[in-house]
Amino acid sequence: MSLASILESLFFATDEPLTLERLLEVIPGENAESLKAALSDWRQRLIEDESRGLQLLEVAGGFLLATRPQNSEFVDRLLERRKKRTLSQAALETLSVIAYREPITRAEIEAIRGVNVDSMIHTLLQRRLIKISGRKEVPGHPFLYRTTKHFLHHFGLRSLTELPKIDELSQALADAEGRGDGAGTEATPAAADEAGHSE
Amino acid sequence: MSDNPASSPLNPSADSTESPRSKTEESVSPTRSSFQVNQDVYQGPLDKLLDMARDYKIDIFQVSLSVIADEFLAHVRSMERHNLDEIGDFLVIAGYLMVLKSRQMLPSATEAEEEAPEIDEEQLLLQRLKDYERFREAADLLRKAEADRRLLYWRDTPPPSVGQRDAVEFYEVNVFDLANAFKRVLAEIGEDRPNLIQGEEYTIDEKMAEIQLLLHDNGEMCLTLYLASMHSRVEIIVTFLALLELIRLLKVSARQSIMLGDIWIYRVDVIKRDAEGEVELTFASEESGFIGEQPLGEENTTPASNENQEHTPSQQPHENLELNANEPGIDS
Repeated sequence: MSLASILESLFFATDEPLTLERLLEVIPGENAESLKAALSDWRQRLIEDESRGLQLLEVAGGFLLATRPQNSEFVDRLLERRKKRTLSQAALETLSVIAYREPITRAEIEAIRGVNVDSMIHTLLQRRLIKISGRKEVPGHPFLYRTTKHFLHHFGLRSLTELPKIDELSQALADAEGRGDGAGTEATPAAADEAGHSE
Repeated sequence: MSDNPASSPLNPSADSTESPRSKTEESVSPTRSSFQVNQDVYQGPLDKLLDMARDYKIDIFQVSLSVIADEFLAHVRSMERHNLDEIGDFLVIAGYLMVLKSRQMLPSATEAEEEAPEIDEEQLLLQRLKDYERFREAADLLRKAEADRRLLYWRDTPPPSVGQRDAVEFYEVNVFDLANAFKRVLAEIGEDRPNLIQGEEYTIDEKMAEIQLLLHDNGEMCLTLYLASMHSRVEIIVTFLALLELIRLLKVSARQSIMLGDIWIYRVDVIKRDAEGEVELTFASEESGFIGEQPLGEENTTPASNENQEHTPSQQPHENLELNANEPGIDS
């Protein structure tokens, strides 16, 4: 039986990202190499076949079957109740400071942003985009903050290393704007082995 | 970054002076300021002015900050909806501009001995501004990633085991299933949100009212999703107690479609008792005629249900749950 067929059934039947390890458990007799190849092959065929409405995404922690961005208009209409909230500019700036400088204390964030970030931290914690990862060994022992797996998921990143280097941001931004097609095609199957975001 | 109006899907005809620069130049950041400085030596967005002043490409003394402030106030008044981010950004950037300008106003006043640290401090400020700019760019990148992400959907609820959920056989949930569901959420919260416990007070009465209010429209809701919206252990524990109380009062019922699956809460609309004295519940989601018509919190009693209230030992929630469990055949 085709491995792709098995994979399609598994991804249809689940609601959480499947890791390579998990897939190996449920498909006995497969080795990691052939499974990776099959995933990569299947992903490619999904992308190339215009008649398909699904794509294989690689997210923090594994693989996930998702809809194609071109069809979002229709799915939006279907699932109106699930409209996702977007983050404000201030929240995004705070998040980017944390993502690039983590682990970081509140005072350090404020030094960069120049404004009080109390309520922003609160919001980001509530939305589980950041978490407290310990205390800094300085007077006062302030909390240290880090981004979460959910953060990676929210922005479609496999890991923080996928963010462009801070010095190359301008270039990355220009590229991102030039790239019209948007989401979904960003992940390369080759990176399957670094899927696990170790925390 | 090229100023190419044609590349902006948001504003294809963007060339008038009033048109927001954020849309022509940086379509990735729609909440960026649309405010334009309009002075002899400089015309354009405020943050570009900061860039140029910082790099000494423009003489800050030629720029009247008070005029800019007045113009911005006028701009704010003309806004249909106040954009707090934009206003906050303005304050930050204008503040930096004032610091830059005031520094340059005092060069000779502090001679030799203070000059060295002075420069250091300025370097420091400039470095901070540069850093800040970088993170603004990073934020733009994240915004773009978020927007891309919003176009995608994936499963975030357990898939139905057979066809539509209505057709699925439901298992009654017992108090242990409920407790387990709450425990899972509590365990998760314990990890991720440890310091958000203080501040809010929750009462069981309030939570009972909230649950009934939520059930008022749809007659059903997913417990897991409901709990996911909560931030503190206290809130979740209070919710648990409130839910137990509502079940005891036969106001709601809890069921799940697969073992260990999501638990759904249903509003109970009608309580009947058949000849053998068995209790039969009718759910809002099954009797569409009742949806939205039943006044909130009112006892939905048939004549038999008063008796039923007596029949049901109200001090023992377990017994109600078991009563429900004896009634699997509610598939009207």
